Parts: sequence; structure tokens; C-alpha cells
Amino acid sequence: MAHASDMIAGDIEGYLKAHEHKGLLRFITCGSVDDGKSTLIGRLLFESKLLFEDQLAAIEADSKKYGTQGEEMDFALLVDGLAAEREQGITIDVAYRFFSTDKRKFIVADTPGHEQYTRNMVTGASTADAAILMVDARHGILTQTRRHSFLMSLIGIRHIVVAINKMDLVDYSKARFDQIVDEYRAFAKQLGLEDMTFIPLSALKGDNVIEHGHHMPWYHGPTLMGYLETVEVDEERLQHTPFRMPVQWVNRPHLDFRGFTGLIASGTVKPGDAIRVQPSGKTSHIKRIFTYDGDLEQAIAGQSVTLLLEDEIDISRGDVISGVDAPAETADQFETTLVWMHDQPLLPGRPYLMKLGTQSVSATVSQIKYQVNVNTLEHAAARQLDLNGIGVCTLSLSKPVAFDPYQENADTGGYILIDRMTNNTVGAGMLHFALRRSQNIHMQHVDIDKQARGIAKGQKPVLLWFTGLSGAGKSTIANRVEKKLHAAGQHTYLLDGDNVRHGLNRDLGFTDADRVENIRRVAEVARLMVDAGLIVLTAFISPFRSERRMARDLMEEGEFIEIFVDTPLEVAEERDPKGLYKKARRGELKNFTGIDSAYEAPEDPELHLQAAKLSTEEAADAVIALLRERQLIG
Amino acid sequence: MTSLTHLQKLEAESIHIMREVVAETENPVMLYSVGKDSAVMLHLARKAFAPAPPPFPLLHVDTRWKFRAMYAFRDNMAREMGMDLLVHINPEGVEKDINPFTHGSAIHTDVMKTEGLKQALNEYGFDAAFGGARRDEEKSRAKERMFSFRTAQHRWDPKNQRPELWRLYNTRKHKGESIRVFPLSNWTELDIWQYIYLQEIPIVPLYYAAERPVVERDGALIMVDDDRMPLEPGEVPMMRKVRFRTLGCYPLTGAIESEADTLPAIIQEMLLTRTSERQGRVIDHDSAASMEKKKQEGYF
Amino acid sequence: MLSTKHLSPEVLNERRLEAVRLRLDGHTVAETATRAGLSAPTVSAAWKAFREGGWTAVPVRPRGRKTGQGGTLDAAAQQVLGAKLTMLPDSGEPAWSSRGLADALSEAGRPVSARAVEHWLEARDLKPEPLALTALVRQRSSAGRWYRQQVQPVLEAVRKAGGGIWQGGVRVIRSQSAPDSVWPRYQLYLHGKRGVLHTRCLWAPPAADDYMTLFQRLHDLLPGRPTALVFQGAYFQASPDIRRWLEVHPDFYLINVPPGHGARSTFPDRPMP
Repeated sequence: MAHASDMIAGDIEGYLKAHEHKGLLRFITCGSVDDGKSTLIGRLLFESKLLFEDQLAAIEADSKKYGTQGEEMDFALLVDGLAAEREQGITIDVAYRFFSTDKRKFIVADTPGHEQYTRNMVTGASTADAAILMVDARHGILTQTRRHSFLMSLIGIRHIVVAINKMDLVDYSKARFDQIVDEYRAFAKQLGLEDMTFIPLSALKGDNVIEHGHHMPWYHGPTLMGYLETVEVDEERLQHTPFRMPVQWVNRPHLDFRGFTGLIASGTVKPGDAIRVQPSGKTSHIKRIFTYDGDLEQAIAGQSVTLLLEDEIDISRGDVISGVDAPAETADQFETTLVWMHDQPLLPGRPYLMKLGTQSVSATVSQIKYQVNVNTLEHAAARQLDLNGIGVCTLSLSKPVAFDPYQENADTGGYILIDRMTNNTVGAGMLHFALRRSQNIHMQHVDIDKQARGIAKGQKPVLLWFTGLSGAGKSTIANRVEKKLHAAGQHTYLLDGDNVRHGLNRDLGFTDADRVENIRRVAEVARLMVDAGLIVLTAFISPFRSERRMARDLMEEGEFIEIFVDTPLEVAEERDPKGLYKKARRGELKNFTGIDSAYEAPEDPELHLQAAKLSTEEAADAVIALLRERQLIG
Repeated sequence: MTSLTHLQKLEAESIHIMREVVAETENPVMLYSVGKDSAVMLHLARKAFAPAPPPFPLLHVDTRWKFRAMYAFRDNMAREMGMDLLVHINPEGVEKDINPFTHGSAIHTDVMKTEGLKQALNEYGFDAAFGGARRDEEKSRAKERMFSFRTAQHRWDPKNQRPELWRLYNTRKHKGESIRVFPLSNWTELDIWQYIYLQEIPIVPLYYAAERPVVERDGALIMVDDDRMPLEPGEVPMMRKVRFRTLGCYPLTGAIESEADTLPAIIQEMLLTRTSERQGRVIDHDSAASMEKKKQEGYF
Repeated sequence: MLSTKHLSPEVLNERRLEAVRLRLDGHTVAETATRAGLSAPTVSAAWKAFREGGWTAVPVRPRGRKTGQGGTLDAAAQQVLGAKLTMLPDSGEPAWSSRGLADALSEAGRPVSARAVEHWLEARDLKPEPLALTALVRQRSSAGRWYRQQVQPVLEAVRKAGGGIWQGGVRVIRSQSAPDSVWPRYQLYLHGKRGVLHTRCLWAPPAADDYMTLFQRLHDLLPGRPTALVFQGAYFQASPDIRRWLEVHPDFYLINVPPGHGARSTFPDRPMP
């Protein structure tokens, strides 16, 4: 790379001109410090002259303080960052490093090889075009190598370099190299990995990193740098796939301009192209491709653009604009691989917020088909997924979304799940295919609808959802409210926790997972009853916000009335009508809300009853008053 | 087949991020530091929302000690862009006359910059703030997310940041919490300069070499930008041809001697110089983990 | 064809550096030669030196005898010179001329010619060129305007009154010409009639006292008559001491050279990258 600095000194403008046209490759390195991964990254940075003197001095100083390489410069310290991690001597997150040659700029995602950090590796790999898998020539293929390879195949990395490092410690033996290559190929076949390149390296001495060196004349393949400078970037492949652009934001500065902004996920687009908007299915043609620098004749995958259409059709954030010939599919049930990324386990039945492209919808894992052991690749049954768990699941959404199988397009087939309460990103998934079930079981079209049924009964159907601690007075108040409604000639039905658990839900216990399923079923039943035109009352502890949220989402706007029967724990425990608190206190009853299981109070209920200060009659009147105020009853 | 260049890809990514924030947050703001990274960020914002002006204001957390050329440039820029410019100066700092000379760089930075920023974000209720920080600037930043979550107290918890996969950014937050968004995360110093050069983005003239009055302080060349700069008895500043690689408070920003008075010359000098950009920042000369601490305290 | 033989190494080197910059800006050898005032072979030589060795390779080595060779200026003599340069001359001269330094060496028992001293100064980057002020008379640039409006009238008035006219400045010495630790880095210099150099070296940037001593000595050279000094490289505006001194010496005219108007910069105190 001496050539580059000559050019910089001699002809800076020529240098700048040449570097305007550089490409960008993102890659991930997998392996541990022991494999020489950090030494390799350090060398790549060093060779591309991106280490400054003061940084080198800092590393030298750090090498003495923290280093593991004795007096040698410890390049590992280059890729460590956070102070706390440095003291532990390991990296625990994804770090991004940058270097550049005459041909390309590189972004390196560096992740640790440690077992519990599947999450980080998947994160780092999600944006990578290629992966470097580090193998210590002395040790060959280890469990860790298999695990990393599996994760790379899972995330769909198309180009894998198996860097067989520390060749200097096996006398640059071709036989050893061949042996490892054969072993790896046999294993990779199971994973369906296709594009693999094997490079014998010595990151420490530099052989086959930038130059071939003279130790391994038997190796005729590319150097690592040569490979990285020429391997295909994913966006180049995506240009040849059908056009997709998830709409990010509608730009409407004035009446004559209505632009749909977004980053083109795949394909190319030109003015005049016929497009289809998913999930609505509406069609139009591209009028202009607007950018700040002037209209474009064509735009390609990876560009951020603003599209203007010929027709005034309704498009908003979350829609996907597709080429008309090969539009994205739409569905609301999928088979998917899900990687769990949070300490709080995945619970089937619990609703999460899904972000897919620019679409946000409520999503529930209805079933975990099996969990995959990352070390053995064995399948096992699972009722939940813990942190770093990987499962193949069925996923159902609250409404159809536009998508492509992840294998075809990561931007329209990769998604994250967000916990609705903590707002954490808890999972990441890859859609395999739509489950035809949802399309075969079309919603049966019926002529008599909810409104018609309500009119026949002279009422507006609604769901009154009572929530609160055991013994708070939910059932008592709900019962009184139902009596009053009934007396006024309304058609009602009261679903009570204890009663339901004797029948519909008698197979469920009181674990968190079962509580979630209990509420899901009750909410579905309540929805059917509201659909039947009834005023439905439910009296369940329903301790978790996310499940109450799910019930609310099942109903239409204004149909869900959350009534918080707020009785302090001491008062409820004092009342203890069923003697349950005493049992729980004695430890005879596990997972009892308020004792050893949490109650998450509503943040914004439609009605908040300070039940300890009100008589049953007063509480019931407050509910009736609310219904009148909302003009739900006469 | 057409291939996007690295700058086109970085540009597309930054624009995508800005649009996500505008689509998903209530009240975003762009932190404008008047430096070259801010200049690039602002230029990208214009591109992201054209033909409309960017739908958020600019916020400059002022310390009263920036170079005069920066104030002039800032006011001119906001006018040209047609954007609202909010300037916040920590009133407590003004009252106590906090300055880098009597209080030292650490206290000055903490009160005027860190506290000032928190005050401004609280006062206007901003829930997302764009910042121009880059991952290549400093080792601990290599792991910083594009979307960095802060508690209602503006604290950053390294253990509680969200994984960022594909192009998916989770912008959900509780009331009172806020996000710092870094659309330039993947840009390097060279990318920034090259982009400025290609796109002809205006930058503060202090980046170009010119004769300026300077004094030496602890081996650094400090510009005498106004008469608040305390001089030793009998001291006479020298006029030397210098420029700045980063801009901040003038008493805390070291100049380098240079002949580079064009963009190619600046880029050339940068490529051939073997010291990193942050060396000129006096505030960095603390412990190795100082940035880490500053970040946890809410400093950028 | 231009000859570069008549140029001092200082000027020649400035031009050589300028030539490389022009080449970097894309000018042809011929254009560069015209603009830089050098011959085409010199431009090519400078360019070649730059391609091979970077900026530091561009300046030519001093012509003639290498310093310290030929027995004229041995280590001890150099030490005397170094020490003298950091002090004020006893003679009352505003600063050391090469004549004054040669005399001082003779007194110390090491006689050398003034010319040898001059060579030595040149080799040590201690011989800055005077400002090319008269060249500004016809220039239409802002520097030309400045000279015609701010400088020329003052100089003419002083000349008419039979006063002294001086140019001078303060600069940082190129570090590669002397190791930092053992040699002062700052130089005060003056050019009097016919461009004769007077100079002093300092360990720190000159303070107000240093300047005032200099001014006072210039002022005392021609008692009762005015003195004009065109000075570059100092920011006197920030010094109340200097302001007060000027107030009580109304017949001393100090003219600051504005940024960018000087004929040379203070830059090269560190090697070019």
C-alpha cells in the first residue's frame, strides 16, 4: 500500500477522484481472541495505515497494562472498547471497525466467540455481506466453529471465508490445511452453505493476509485482502431481484407534491414502471424519482429515494411498493426462525410488537415447533425460548403484512420483536413462508354483522374488562353492574375467572405462560360475544399489561372498557373471601398474584375505581355513569 | 450493473435513519455543533426531506466560548436553510460565570455542555436528538448503537442498549426517555472530508490554514479569539499559519501549524499525518476511559 | 531562461515548495516555472525530490561549504554564537548583525569572517528574507491596497524627516535545522538599509519586554528623528504594554503586516507531513 501514500503526496486530486468510486463491503469476523481474530483485524487496520501514532502509542501503553501478548504489541486491545469489558479481558458486544484500501471501504463487525453471545453474532451478521470464520490450524474444527457456521447459515450470509490461521505453528503444512478443509466441507454440507473459500493464514506473520508471502508456495488462491476486495456485495445481487421499497415517510410539503420516501430494498426502478402497493394491492405508475440532487432516470437497491406516482392512491408508512409483475406476498401467519435476545423468555401466546421493514404490527408466537441446539444442531421440543434460544415457530399477526421470504430478501423478510411493556428488542426473526392455513380459512362472510345484531337488541355491544387483585371485588361489582344493565333491558353476559377455569380453561395452571393463554382464550371468547351484540363483562385478575393490551387490540376502537378495581393488597388480603391469601402466605399456593407473582396496574384505564372507599352500589353506579357518558347505553 | 460507491451507501443509510426518526418520534431535534460533522449531517437532512426543509429545529448548546467564526457561520447557515435555530446556554453557568480558565476544562464542559444539553432537551421536551458522533472517533464509540437510549435522567446504561439488526431500529421508549441518534456512525473522518469536497458543503473557515494569533499552552497552540483569553504578563501572541482539525471551545481546542488552505490539501494532510483527529481536543487528555464516563453522564 | 543561481537558498526553497504545490494543483511544468519564478529543470527537480522523499526532500541543501567544515566555525565557536544570539548585543545594536557576531567571536578568541557567520546563519534557518514590500506598490490585490494606503504614506513621511525605516518579524525556526532541546525555537529579526539582517533567538515567544527593548534600541539609533517598523508575525493588538509604549513614543510608527499579506509564512517550524 506504499503506492497509496505516493499518490496522496503526489496527486491528491487524482487520489480523491479514484476514491470517489470505491465500493463498500461489510463483513463479520467470527472466532475468539485465541484464534488470532483480533490480531488479524489489527493487522488489516495496520496494513491499511489507519492506525495513528497516538493510537499506536495508546495501544502500546495498554499492552503493558492489560495485554496478553507479553512484550509484543497486543492488537486485541484495538478491538476492545468499553472500560468494564476491558477489565474482564473479553469483548461482550458488537464493535464496528473501519478501514479502506484503494478498491473498497470496509466495515468490520467484530463479535465475541463466547457461547452466550449468539445474540451479538446474529446482530453483527445481519448487516454483513461476508463472514470470516477463524480456525486455529492446530485445533481444527471445534464446536465453536460449528456454532458460528450455523449462525452464519441461519442469517443467510452468502460468502464465507474459512481463515485457517496460525499456519506458522503447524509448519505451514499443506496436509494439515487439506485435512481441515475436508472436515469443514463435510460439515458445511449439512448446513447448505455454498460459497466457501479456504485461506491458510498467519495473521501474526502476515502470510496470505495482504501478500502471499513465501511460506506457503502450495497455496494458489486469493489472499484474504484480495478476497475481500472482490467478493460480491449483497446489494449487487439484490439489484437483479424484484423491486421492493418499504415506505418510510410520506413527504407532502404542499398540495402538488406527494412523495413516498424509502430505501430501495431490492431491484431497480425507473419512471414509467408499473407498481403495486402492498398489502392494499392498489396499482399505479412511477412518475418521478425525486432526489435533492435532481430527478433520477433509474434508482437501484440500496438508494434512499422519494417516489412520486401517477395516481393519487392512498399509501402510508408501512406499505411496500413492489414491481407489478412480482409483488411481495401478503399474509398474517408464518413459519419463522426466531432468535431470542432477552432475559425474559419468549412466551407463546403473548403479543409482541413486530417491526418488519417499516411495518409495525402485533404478533404472537402461536407454537414453538422445535428449538435448535446451536452446538449439536439437534431439535428439541420447547415451551418457551430463553435468551440466545433459537426456535422454529409459527407466528400470527393482528393483520396481514407484505413480505418476502428472508432467504430472498432480508429487508422484507427479517423482523424484530419488541416487548410492549419494556420496549426492549427481545427477538429477531426470519420469515420462511406464509402458512396457507390463514388463506384457506378465509373469514366467512356473513350478512348479519355486529352492528345489525346490536341494533336488534337496542344496544351498542361493548366489553367491560374488570381487572384487579384477587379479592378486590371485581366479580361482586361486575355482578351488580350486570344486574343493573339487565334490569334496564340490556343483553349481557358475565365471564368470570373462576367459572371459566372450571370449563374452557381447566387445562391451564398458574404459570406465567398459562396465565397468558388463559387471558388469550377469554379475550377471544369475549370478542365473539361482543360480535354477537352483547354487552360483555369479564372479571379476571389479568395481571399483565401485555395481555390486557392484546385483549384491547382484538376489539374495535372504543369497544374495550378497562375498569381497574383498585383495592390495596392489605385490604384484599384482609377480606380474603376464598382463603387464598392465607394459603399463599403459607406457601401452599404458588404464583399467587400480589404475593409471589406481579400485578401490573393499568397505566391509563377507562375507569379507575378506588374500590376500598366505595360501596358495591357506588362502584356499579360509576360504571353505569361511564357507559351513559360514552353513549353506549341510553 | 451499477454499483453504489461507499459514499452513496453511507448517504443512503444516514438518510434512512433520519427518516425513521421523523416517522417514529414525536419531537426530534438536530444537535448542531457547527463543526464539519454537523455540516455533513445537516446536508444529509436537507437531502432526506427535500423539497421540504428538515421538519425539526437545530439546537446549539452554546458554552459562550466557541470561536467567533463559528457563531457567524452558525447564524448564517440557519438563515440559509430556513430552519429554526435554538441556542441554549446554561443559565446557571452564566450566573456563576463558568469558564475554562478559572474552572478548568472538565467543569466547564460538564456544566456548559453536558448540563446545558440536558436542560435544553428537558425544556423543549425533545424525545430524539440527532448527533454527529462517529464510531471511528474513539475506541469506546466503536460499540455505540446508532440509536442510543437515555433514561429520563439522560443517563446512558451500557448494559441496556438494544441490538440493531438489518435496517430495523426500535424507537419505542417510555415517557420521559429519549434517544440520541447518530446517523454518521459508520462514516470515518476521511469519508466526511471526501463528502464535503464532493458535495461542496460549506464549513467554518477555521478548518483552513490561515495566519491567526496564537499562544502556547501546555504544548498546544491556542488561538486568541477574543480579549477574554488570559495572557501571561507581557505575553504577546504570535501570528502563525494554523488550522483546526476539530472545533470546540477556543480555549480548549488546539490548532496545528499547516499550509493546507484548500480541501484537497486538508485531506492530503490528514492522510499523511500520523496523529488522530481527537488529539487536538484538550478535554481528551484525561484517563483512557474518560469518554466512557462522559457518555454515561450524558455527554456526547 | 531564468537562472536560479542568484537566489538565496531561502527564497529558492520557498519557490521550490511553491512549485510542488502548483504541480499538485495540476499545473504543467511550464506554467509552474512561470508562476514560481523558477526554471523548468528546477521545477522538475523539486517535483522529483517530492515524489521520492515527500515535502522534507524538496528544499535544497545549503550551497558551498557545509557548516562546521573548513575549520572556520568549530563546535566551540557555534556554542559561542548560540549563546550570544540569545542575549542582547552590548554594542547597542537592536539585534545581532553578522558583523556584530563575528566581532563577538573574535573577542572570544575565535576569529571568523562575517561572511562565514552569514553562511552559518543560513544553514541554521536563521536568515529570513526581507518582505518584498516594494513589489506590492503596483499590485491590485488587497495586499497592494494595504501597502499603498497604510504603509507608503508613513514611510514617505519618515523618510522625509530623515528617520529610520525597518522591517522585521518574529518566526519559528525550522526544527529540522536544529534539535529542539538544545536550540531556541523563536527568532526575532530585522532588516535595515539594504536588507542587512539583525537577529536574536529566544527560548519562548518574545514577550512585550523583548519587543519594547527592540523598539527602544531602534528608536535610539536616530535620536530626535522618527522611526518606522513594518512588522509581521506578532499580534500586538493584544498587548497593553506595547500599546502604552507606543503612546509615549508618538514618533515610532509600528505597522503590522495583516494576515496573508506577508511575503512568507511563519509555518515551517515542524516538518511537513
